[in-house]
Amino acid sequence: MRFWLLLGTAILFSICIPFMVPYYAMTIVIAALIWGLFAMSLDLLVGYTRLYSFGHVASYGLGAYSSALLILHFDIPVPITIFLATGIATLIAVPITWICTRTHGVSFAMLTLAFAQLGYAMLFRFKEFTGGSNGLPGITRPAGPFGLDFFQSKIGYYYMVLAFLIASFLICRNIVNSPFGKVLSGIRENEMKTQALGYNVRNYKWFVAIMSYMFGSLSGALFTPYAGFASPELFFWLISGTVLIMVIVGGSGTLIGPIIGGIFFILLEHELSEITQLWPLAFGTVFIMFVLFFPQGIWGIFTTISKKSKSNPSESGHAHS
Amino acid sequence: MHILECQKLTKHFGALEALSDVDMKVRKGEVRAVIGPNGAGKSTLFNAINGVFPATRGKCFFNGKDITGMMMQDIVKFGISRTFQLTNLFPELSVIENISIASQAKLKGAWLPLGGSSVLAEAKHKAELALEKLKLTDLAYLPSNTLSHGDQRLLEIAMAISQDPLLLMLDEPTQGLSVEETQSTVDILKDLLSSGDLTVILVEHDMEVVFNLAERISVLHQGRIIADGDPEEVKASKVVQDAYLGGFEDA
Ligand SMILES: Nc1ncnc2c1ncn2[C@@H]1O[C@H](COP(=O)(O)OP(=O)(O)OP(=O)(O)O)[C@@H](O)[C@H]1O
Ligand SMILES: [Mg+2]
Repeated sequence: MRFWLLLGTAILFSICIPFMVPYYAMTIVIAALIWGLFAMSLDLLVGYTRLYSFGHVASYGLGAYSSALLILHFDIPVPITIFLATGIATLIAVPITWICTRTHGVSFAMLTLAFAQLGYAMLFRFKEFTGGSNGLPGITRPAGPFGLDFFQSKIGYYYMVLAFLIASFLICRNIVNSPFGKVLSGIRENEMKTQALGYNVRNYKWFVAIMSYMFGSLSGALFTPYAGFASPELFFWLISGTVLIMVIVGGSGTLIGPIIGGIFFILLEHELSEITQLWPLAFGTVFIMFVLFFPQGIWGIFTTISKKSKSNPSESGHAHS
Repeated sequence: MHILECQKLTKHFGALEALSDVDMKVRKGEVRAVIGPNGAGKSTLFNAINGVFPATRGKCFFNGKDITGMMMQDIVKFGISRTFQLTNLFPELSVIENISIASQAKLKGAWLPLGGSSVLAEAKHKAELALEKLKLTDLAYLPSNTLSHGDQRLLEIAMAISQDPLLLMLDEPTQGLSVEETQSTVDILKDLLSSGDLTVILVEHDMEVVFNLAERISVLHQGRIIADGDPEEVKASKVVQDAYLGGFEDA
C-alpha cells in the first residue's frame, strides 16, 4: 500500500518535471533516467544474485548500436525500434551469458569484462557496419507508430523513457519477488546449498543474466535516438565500473536504490563537471565514503531511517508473531 | 523392498580411497545409523549418494531407479533430502525464508519468474508446518545467523523435512550440541519418526543418540563397511570392538 503511494507520487512528480525545469535541462534529465534504468538492470545480477559483472557495458553498447543500426537502415517508428533493438541485443546475450554463468566470482567478473572488450574490438573490426571510431552519427527519432510524432520531440521522448523505466521497474520488482526471485536470494546467500535443495542454479543464473542484459540493452537502445549518435564510448569498459558504483552507492538489492544512484550521479556529474575538472575525483571520493560508511547505499539509509521512526510497535509485534 | 541400495560404491580422492566397495541396503521406513571414527568416510558416503560429487565406481539405486552419477539438484526430486555436517544455511535470510526456499524446490512452478504468489504461499505454508515439527515457530522471523548453533542445526533439519522427503539423510545432527540440546533434538527426531514412513540415514558420533534412534547400524572404517546389523549385534561385534572402541559404554 505504502509502496504504491510512494510510486504514484514519484510518477506524478516525474510527469510534472517538464513543466518545472527549463527546456534545455530536459536533456540531462532524460540521460539521468536512462542511466537509472541501466543501473537497475545491473542490480538484478549484483544485488539479487551477487554476481559481479564487470562487463555490463556490453548490454548498453549492444542495445545502443542495435537501435542506431535499425534506425539508419530501416527507419521504423522509434518505440518499435526500441523493442526490436532490445530483442536483438538480448538474443546476442543468450549464448554469452550462458558461458559467463558457468563460472563463479572473479572468473565471472573477468569473463563478462572480456566479452565487453570483445564487443568493443568488434566495433573497429567491422568499420563499414559500425562506423569504427567515428561511430554512427545522424540517428533520428523516426515518427510513428500510427502517425504519432509526439516521441520525436524532446519532451515526448522524455515521457517515453519514463514509461519504459516505470514498466521495467515493475517487471523487475515482480521478478525479484517471484518464486524465481526467492531462488536468486538463495544463490546469493549460499549457492551450494541452493543446489543441494534441488535447484539447477546454473539455469537460474543464466536466466537472471539474460534479464539483466535485456534491461541494460533497453537503456542502451533508448540512448542513441536520444543522443543522435552511437560511438565506441558507449562500449567503453570504464562504464561497467561506473554503473557498478551507481548500484552500490544507490543501494544494491533494492532496485529503486540503483535507479536513484544512476539519476543522482548523472545530475551530480552534470553540476560538478561544469564547475570543476575534478569530477572523477569527486566521484571516487563519494564511492569510497559509501563503501566505508554506508554499505547499504542511499536507499538503504533512507529505509533504515524510515523504519526506525516507526519501528517500536511493529517490531515487538513481529518477534512474537 | 529396499528404498536405497548401494553396490560397491567407491570414491577416490587422488591416491586416497575414501570409500571402498561399500554395499548398503536400506529398507523403507528404517532408521539407519552410520558410525565410524573420524575420517572413516561417512560424509563421503553421503556425498556420493546424493550427488555432491560422482562416485569413482559402483552404483546407487533409489526405489529401484539408478541414481548413480546424477547431480544433487536432480537427486532431490526423487525424494532424498539431507543436512550437512557443517551447518549450511542462508545466513542473512530469516528462518522462514530459509525453509520456504527449501520447500519451494519440490513445488510445481518453483521457477516462475513472474507472479507465482500461490507457489510462494504454499512454500510458506509448508515451512510453517516444518517449523512446528521442529519447535522453531517462535524464531520464524529472525535472521538465521542470529540463531544459536543448536537451533541452526534444527533449522537445517526443518529445511530438509519441508521437502517431504522419502529418505532423510542427517550428517551429525547433534554435532556441537550441549547435553540438553542433544536430548531435545533426539526427542524431536523421535517425534518425526513416529509416523514410520520416513526412511532415515543418520551419521552420528554420540552413541547414546545412535542406540536411541537407530534400528540398524552400519560401521564404516577406513572406507569399508566392517559391520552391519541391529544395535545389539554391532555392539557385540568383535571386528567393531577391535577397529573402533573407546567403548560405546562410556559414550
Ligand atoms: N572433498 C574431498 N577432497 C579430498 N579428500 C576428502 C574430501 N572429502 C573427504 N576427504 C577425505 O576422505 C576421508 C573421509 O572423509 P569423510 O569426511 O568422509 O570422513 P567422516 O567419516 O565423515 O569423518 P568425520 O567423522 O570427521 O566427519 C578423509 O581422509 C578426508 O580427508
Ligand atoms: Mg563427516
